[in-house]
Amino acid sequence: MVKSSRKSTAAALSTTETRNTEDETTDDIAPPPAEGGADGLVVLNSRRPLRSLRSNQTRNDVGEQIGEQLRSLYEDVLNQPIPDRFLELLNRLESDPISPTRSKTPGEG
Amino acid sequence: MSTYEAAKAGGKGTKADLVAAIPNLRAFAVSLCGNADRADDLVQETLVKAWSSLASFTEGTNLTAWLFTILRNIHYSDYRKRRREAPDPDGAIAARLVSLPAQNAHMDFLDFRSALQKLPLDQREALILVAASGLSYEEAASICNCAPGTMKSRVNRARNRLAEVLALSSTSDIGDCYFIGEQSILPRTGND
Repeated sequence: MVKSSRKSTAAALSTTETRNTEDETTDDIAPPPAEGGADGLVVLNSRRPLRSLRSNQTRNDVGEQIGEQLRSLYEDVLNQPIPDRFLELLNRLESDPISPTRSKTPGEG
Repeated sequence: MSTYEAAKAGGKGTKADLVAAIPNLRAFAVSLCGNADRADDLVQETLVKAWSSLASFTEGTNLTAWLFTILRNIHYSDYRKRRREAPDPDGAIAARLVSLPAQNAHMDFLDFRSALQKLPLDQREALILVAASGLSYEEAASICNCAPGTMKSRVNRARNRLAEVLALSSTSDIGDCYFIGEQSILPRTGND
């Protein structure tokens, strides 16, 4: 059914699935199991369109949006002023020669 | 002589270098854990730990990458601990309860943040390090203690996964609800 003209949801999904070169997550976007189990992608409301998923244009747009959104999230924080708590912390550490022993933070592990 | 003074005397990282790295640390932490308060706690722990370990920082290498490594290790350590202690380690259930604007026909910021936080942790950090922090695959791989090839495939998987989720989201009608794996992705409130 994935063959030609029939553009089913399953076809659209398997098209994108082939883009996943890796193994781990492909299960998640496999066509839904008949009973709609938790392992598959379950669409509770079947009336929504999936056309754009087949469109390379949209896929590229989404890819670009991902990059933009990611950088936006990151740079939002990056451009914020440094909170005083960190400057105070470093001042405290600097003036406190025994500071290393106070670092009980769980670290490499 | 304190660790810091020793490090300073050796020409290694200084307080000013640490201060300069704080914005990057915060951005990394927020992207990684999706929670501003938790992120700043992570940064604080990282600075304390970094301070006590400055002597082990290799001069000439990337201080930010070194700090990212420390922050990541703390995050993973906490993550494991929380997972043992609580059934909802990083707010997955709570995140599902968040009402999202349902009227948008495009990917909005909340959609994206929500989707990002639902990526597996290894994929999320890979994507952040490479696509947002601007580190090379090699640097990112070093931080995550994996091979560059592994890093690349994680980034690709993360991108594909997000594209899947967000493409679905961008074409969904109000009131739709999607489940991928065991998690509800981008719950739609359908309240208007």
